[in-house]
Amino acid sequence: MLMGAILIVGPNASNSDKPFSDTHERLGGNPITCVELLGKSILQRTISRLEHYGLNDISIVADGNLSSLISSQLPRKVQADFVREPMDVWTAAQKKFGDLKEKGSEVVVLIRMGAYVEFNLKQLLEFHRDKQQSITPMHDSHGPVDIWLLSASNTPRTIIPDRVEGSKVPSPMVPFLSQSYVNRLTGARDLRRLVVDAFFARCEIRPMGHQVKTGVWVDEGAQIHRRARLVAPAYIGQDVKVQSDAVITRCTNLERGSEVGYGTVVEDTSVLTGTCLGTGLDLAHAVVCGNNLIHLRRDVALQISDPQLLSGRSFVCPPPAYASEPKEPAVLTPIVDINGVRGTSHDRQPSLIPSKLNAWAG
Amino acid sequence: MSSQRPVVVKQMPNQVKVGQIQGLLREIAPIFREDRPRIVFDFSQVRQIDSAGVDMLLHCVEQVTRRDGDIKLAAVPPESAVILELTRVDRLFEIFDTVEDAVDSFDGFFAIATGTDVGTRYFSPHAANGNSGGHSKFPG
Repeated sequence: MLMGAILIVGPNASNSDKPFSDTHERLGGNPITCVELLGKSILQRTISRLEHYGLNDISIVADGNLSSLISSQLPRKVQADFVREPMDVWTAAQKKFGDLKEKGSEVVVLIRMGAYVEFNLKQLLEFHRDKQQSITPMHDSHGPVDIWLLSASNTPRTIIPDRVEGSKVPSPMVPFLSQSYVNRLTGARDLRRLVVDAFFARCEIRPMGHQVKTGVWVDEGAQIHRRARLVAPAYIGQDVKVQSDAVITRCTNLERGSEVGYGTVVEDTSVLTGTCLGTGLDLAHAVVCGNNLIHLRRDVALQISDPQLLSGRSFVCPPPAYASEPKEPAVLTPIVDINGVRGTSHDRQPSLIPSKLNAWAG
Repeated sequence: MSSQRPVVVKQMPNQVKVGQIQGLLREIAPIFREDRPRIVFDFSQVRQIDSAGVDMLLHCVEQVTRRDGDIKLAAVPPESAVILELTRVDRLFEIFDTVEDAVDSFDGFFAIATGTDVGTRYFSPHAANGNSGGHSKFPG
């Protein structure tokens, strides 16, 4: 049976009259589902899940402002359509549904990228067939999770969920109740929960890269100073730099291209792509994304425009290399000795030289 | 136990950032010349503090410690508290919810902890003595 999938990166249908930026589910201006976590975004993980079930005709519909971010994350065979206004994603999805029908898809999975759901497509499809309904929404114990299964034949006039009720639905919509792991990813707190759940294997997400010692994953190109300390569980992403005397501990994930300065301690924190932390800092219970810091214990969001503390750099994503073998992480050796507990400038950090020595050799 | 040395309460501005530091230091400098200065920095108005502000706090601690005095922080909003934690400066200061608590603390930890009345306090703004700079003195 031919199946297609449409992934919508945009507001949910009830918010489609508002700009996406007014809704939650965002961090540092980007949807949380497009932010890399433990080496891969939720969007990439959802595509992998669909491919695992044998779906090859996968389309993305997204806000045009996200085009570079999303394009860099997609495998070549997945095509993306970008719309001018965020609220147009649903209209574009409707059109895409028509295209898939024409190409012969009998069933289409429609997913709005909001929650992270470990759905079982086989079970959903069986339920959909048993109920003989044109649209099957997926719910968990807290309500809808923005996943629908649509029959190509016998479909209502619109696939936009909150307008389906008003149109002539050929059959009642009995929701499929998922028992699997769901994280609604409504904000930084949910993001942290997902990372911690992944570290403790409470969900199916596994960090990318090598597990260099129990509970410590290091991705390719990471440079870790031999005097830095990594305490499990922790994830050090691609091309991350961890400077001398830094401590990375308690479920911290350092995403691609981020940097931790000399002597900085990072605890129970997500440092997102391209974020640089200054020297001698003490960062705990937070999510940092460029200049933005969200402190979860104090429930405070700050924008810090001081590069000695936090800075962000645009990090150009290389095309995803799903098939490539990860390389061994590089290790850094200090060439300048630094005294004192707290540096005041990036210039005072020890210079770093990639080395082939083992980071954990002592 | 009570000494009569005054506690100087310095109201910190909205921004404690690189452009404001020199002016702030000029205002505070006379207090550092006193013997065993007792200072409370009232952070209630502070909305932004950067690494220059943090360095200024470290400078102040250094100055006050040299003269056997102390600085305490009061009414630190969460935004500033995050920066103080981030830069590890929070552990160098006693931090109080209110200016009154910070002022009282100079006369004894137990007075605050038990809620004991430490005597009548009076408020005499510096401006009334012809001084400027937006700070005020409590008797200790």
